[in-house]
Amino acid sequence: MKPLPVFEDSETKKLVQDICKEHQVDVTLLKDLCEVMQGHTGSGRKHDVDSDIAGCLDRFLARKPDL
Amino acid sequence: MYLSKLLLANWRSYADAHFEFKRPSDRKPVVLIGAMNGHGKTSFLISLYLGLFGKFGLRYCEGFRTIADNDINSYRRALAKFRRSNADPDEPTVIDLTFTPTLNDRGEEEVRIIRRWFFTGSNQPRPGDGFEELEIHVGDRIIRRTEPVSAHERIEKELFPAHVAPAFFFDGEQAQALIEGAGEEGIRKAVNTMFGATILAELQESLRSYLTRAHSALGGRQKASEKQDVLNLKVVRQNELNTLIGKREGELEDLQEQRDQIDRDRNQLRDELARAGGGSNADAARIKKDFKTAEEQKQSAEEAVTDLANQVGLVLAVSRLDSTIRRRLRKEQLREDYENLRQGTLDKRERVLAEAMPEPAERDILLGNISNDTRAKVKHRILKALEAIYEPPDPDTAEGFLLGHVRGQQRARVLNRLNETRSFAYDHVRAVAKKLRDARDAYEEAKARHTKLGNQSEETRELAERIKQLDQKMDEAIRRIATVENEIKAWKADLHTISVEVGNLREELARLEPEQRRIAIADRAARTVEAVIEKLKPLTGQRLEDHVTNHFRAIADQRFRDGRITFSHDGEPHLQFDDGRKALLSSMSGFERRSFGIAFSLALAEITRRRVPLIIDTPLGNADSKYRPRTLDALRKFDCDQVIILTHDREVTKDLLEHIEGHVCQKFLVEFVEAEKRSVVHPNRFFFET
Repeated sequence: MKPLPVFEDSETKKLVQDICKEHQVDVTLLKDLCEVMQGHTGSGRKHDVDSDIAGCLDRFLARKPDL
Repeated sequence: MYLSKLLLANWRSYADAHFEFKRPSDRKPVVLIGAMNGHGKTSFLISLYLGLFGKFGLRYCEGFRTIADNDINSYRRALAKFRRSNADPDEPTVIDLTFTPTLNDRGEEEVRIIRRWFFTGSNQPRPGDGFEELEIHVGDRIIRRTEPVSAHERIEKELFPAHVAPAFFFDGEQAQALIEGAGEEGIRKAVNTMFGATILAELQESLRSYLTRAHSALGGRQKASEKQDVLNLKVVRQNELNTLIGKREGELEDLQEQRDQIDRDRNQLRDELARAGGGSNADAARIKKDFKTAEEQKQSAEEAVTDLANQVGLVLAVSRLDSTIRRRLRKEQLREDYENLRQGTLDKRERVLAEAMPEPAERDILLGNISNDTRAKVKHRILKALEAIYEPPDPDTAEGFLLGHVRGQQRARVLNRLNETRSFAYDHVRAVAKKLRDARDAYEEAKARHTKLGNQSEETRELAERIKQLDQKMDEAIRRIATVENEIKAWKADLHTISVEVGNLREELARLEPEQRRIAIADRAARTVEAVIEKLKPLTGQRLEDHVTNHFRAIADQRFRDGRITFSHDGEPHLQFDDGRKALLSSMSGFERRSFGIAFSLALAEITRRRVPLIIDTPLGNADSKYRPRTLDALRKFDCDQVIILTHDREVTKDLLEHIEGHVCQKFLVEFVEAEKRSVVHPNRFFFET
């Protein structure tokens, strides 16, 4: 799935990176979460969004076990 | 992405038209589709809106701008209007679009959307859900969607959102109106949507919902956080206690070291004192006390001896003559026995003579005839014989009675008493004597020590005084050690209690931990998204202004090139010049406004970084000869895969065609054939060419 433009544009990409750093999350988490939202757009299964979000959070925690 | 195929069946003037577009190149991105007015340019354009987005694309069609998404009747009426009037009733109206990825779309898949509308025999829209059919092909997969909203969202996901379609597919004449109609809010919404801010906003909302539900599942937001707060406080107290205990244990070690040092010093002084012949004050007191006690015990023993002497003095005195008396008494017993026997015999001698020589002689039958002299002699002899019956005692036997007052049984009682008294007196006297000896020995010893103590020197007294001071220090050290130990003990008890509580809380939180950690990260992610959205807003507005200005300057007349397009808060875009002048777009000429519309569309497409084909119907309109090449150059230079220009013969003139010929990938000519009542597509043909 194509990432949101905000993650690809050089200026907004830097902006997102800085904010993610400030909030101690990685950009991958944000991309994953956006992908979940994109995946649910038009899928007709919005009720599963919580479990997909939880999956993203778990993957993030697996990447950052010290958090 | 580029539009690789477009099939139109029973669509306005198109009965069955096929557009097959070649893969464009960076150098040749332009497709020219020439058609005279009324031959099919606008039909081509609006087929994109409706083919892609169905009822959600209708509002971008001229005459349907105000239609609501849920206005199905208007949609049906519109489709009936768009249907080729002389179409076979059995044949549906079909729009079949294929978008194919280019090398710039790595990872993307070909997307084909086929939309069919079915009609009755009288060419009226078929009632109910049977009216419209949609097929979405993504790569090799076919996705059928009958639910319009779901299908619409899927298409938006695969390609781009419907409401930005006018930025990519637009009628040049209406571009300005479209932008103005959207207003500032619409512009910003469009930009935000294309940057992904809409998805971010949806994500923010979903994260908030997730957090609410997760907190609820954990028993409320407060429960876990309060437990965490309590745990934090207890951990702080635990650390404080550990620190305090650590410090106190350090102090305790110091105190114990001091105590041990005092003990060592004191022992050393005691040794010195012992070597000096003295003792400590405590020793001196003890020695004095011992001496006094020994003195008292000696006196007591002596008194006991005196009493004993009083009690058994005679006995003791007699006991000293015991053997002599006992021997004497025994001898006198023998003498008494002898004398008693002899005396008894002698006392009976007259009776013995009377028996042996009865008197007168005449009655003595045996010895009556002897003379009186002989008779007297015989009597004397008998008396002698009587005296010879008892042997006198041995020469050492008492010759007389010294203890003549003790005779017979009295003597035996005296002897018996002597035996008893001797036995008692000896034991008692021995015990008392021993006690006296011991008391005297102890007294002498204590007296010696006491005397020695009294003879201590100044040095020893000083040593004793120092020992006394060390004793006091030792007492103080012991007291402080006890105080510190009690403090440590109390704190350790507190620490134990808190540690148990911390352990319990941690166990509870550990049970909550996986979800708790998710909540923490979700909360952080929500705040991150909020911050991104917040900072994205001004950035996107500024970026939009930058991009629109750049494109506008590329197209517009020289006199506008110093201006900057600004989207003010009053809703109307304007040109802002460095010298402070301001020019409202609405006050500009028609093509200047159109230039803005084109610039705006290009800017949107650029900002989104979506490689969507740019499809423009009559972009040049009434542009003058200087605007035309600038506009075409701006379009062909635009960084996208494909630029499809729908034009008539007065727009892209022969000269202008020659101007951009080197960038044209493909040309089509669409002609409406009156006899067949349909538009016919001629690939690789254009105006001015045969």
